[in-house]
Amino acid sequence: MSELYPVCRVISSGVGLSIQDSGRPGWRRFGLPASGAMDAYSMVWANRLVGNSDWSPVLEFAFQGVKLEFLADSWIACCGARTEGDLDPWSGRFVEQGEILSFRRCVGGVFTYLAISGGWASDLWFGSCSANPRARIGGLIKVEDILYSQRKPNVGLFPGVSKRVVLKESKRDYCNDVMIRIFRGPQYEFFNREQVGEFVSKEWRVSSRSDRTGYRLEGGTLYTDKTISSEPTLPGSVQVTPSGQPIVTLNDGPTVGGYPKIAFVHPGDLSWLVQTSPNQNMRFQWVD
Amino acid sequence: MDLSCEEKFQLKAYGPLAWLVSVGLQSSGGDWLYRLARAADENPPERLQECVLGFDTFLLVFREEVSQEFVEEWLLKIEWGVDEVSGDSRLIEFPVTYGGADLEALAEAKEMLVEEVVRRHSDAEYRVRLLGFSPGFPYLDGLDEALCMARKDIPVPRIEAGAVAIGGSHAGIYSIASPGGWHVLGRTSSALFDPEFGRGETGKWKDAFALKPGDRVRFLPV
Repeated sequence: MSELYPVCRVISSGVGLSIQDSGRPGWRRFGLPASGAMDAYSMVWANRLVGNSDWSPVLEFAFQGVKLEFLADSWIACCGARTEGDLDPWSGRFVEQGEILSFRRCVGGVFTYLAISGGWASDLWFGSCSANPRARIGGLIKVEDILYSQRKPNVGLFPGVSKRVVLKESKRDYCNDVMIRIFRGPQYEFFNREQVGEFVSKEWRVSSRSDRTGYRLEGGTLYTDKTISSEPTLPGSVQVTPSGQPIVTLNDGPTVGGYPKIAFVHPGDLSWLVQTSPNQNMRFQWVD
Repeated sequence: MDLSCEEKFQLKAYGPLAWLVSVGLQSSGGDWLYRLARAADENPPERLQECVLGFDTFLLVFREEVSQEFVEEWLLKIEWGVDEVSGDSRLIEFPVTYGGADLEALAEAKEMLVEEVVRRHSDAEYRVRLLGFSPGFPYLDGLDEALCMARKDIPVPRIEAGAVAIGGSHAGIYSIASPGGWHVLGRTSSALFDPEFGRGETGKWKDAFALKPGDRVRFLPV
């Protein structure tokens, strides 16, 4: 890696602070999930606000509590959950050396993405920066860590401009209840008409026992007496456990699984799903 | 092998970008899976992003939507080859220190001496059916039927990397520390997954994984 620029010091690391990018597809057959930003839509917009390529590495964290002290003048942007703090979501601005940015309170949504002009620097594993601590790939960022950018973080950007915002029609408000489009899963026919109807008529909530591997849904139980042998599992699959709880497999989730899959989340709605916090409601709608 | 597409392959959509291939009841062993994986490596269909082996299913993931006919055409074109895949598969040996947390309980449940469990486990030659669950975790075919034992209902919160274990009719080796419901018989010092290889030249990335589907495996008591 060429010369790196120290950008900030971590005063408080909050929840799940890590570097993510578009992930490492192609290794599922070895048991290694792709990882990558949970909400790719917000990652892309954060990068665009600071003039990066869409897939530059970003910082991802859940909810709140992250506090950073800037060691250099930088252009930085934030997209994703609705947080109250020193940088408004869906905007980017110039931050001066010595400034402290705090993300104090999350009032809707789950994940926030921070992009720095020049892109955050990180080692690559299998061609991607995305941390997957469980697999000993990268790790969570800790208090007192220094974060670096790949290029000088303030060069030649937007002279005379103090702030940039995402256009209203592209902004997303992750505070509201959501309707998620789903396809039939590979074991859709294991579930009778009543079960299939239950799934789309109920309101579901994300259990607090959820993480980057998967979201457990609360609000009802589904039932089938049929079983399968272990089968490849993709992010977005809605698996039904023997206890009847649906689990949506996500970016760091296992690559094979033996639970029947009733549905598969429309890829265009996956970012809405991962941004649904435990106190928001989620409904599903068949598209086929 | 004489699999023909119309008769034996079944295709199921798995979301808009992936197709799941199965061969239904005719399947026995993993040979057709290894052959399909080799075909996908050597002569992949256009727009293929990756393929994933299941126990008796094979998943093709594409970068863009493709039709069922497109996948069927590719399956029909595959040259299955006449050589037995097993003929060129590697044999990998794992030294094992027996005495794992569940060894005695398993012996008791099977009404066997611990030595008998160890003998049966280390006498068998295994075959990697697939890698999954965790990076590099092998599901091994070939477990002595007398040792088969359903997974624990409640998984243990942490099983260390290198744990040699039994789950249902499979043997396996935990590749990273993780929760797990398999019965641990012992441990091996050999690494199943070393992410450091993923940092080097692209040509070395596959060396991060000690095993691949089709490999033969033996356990050597130490």
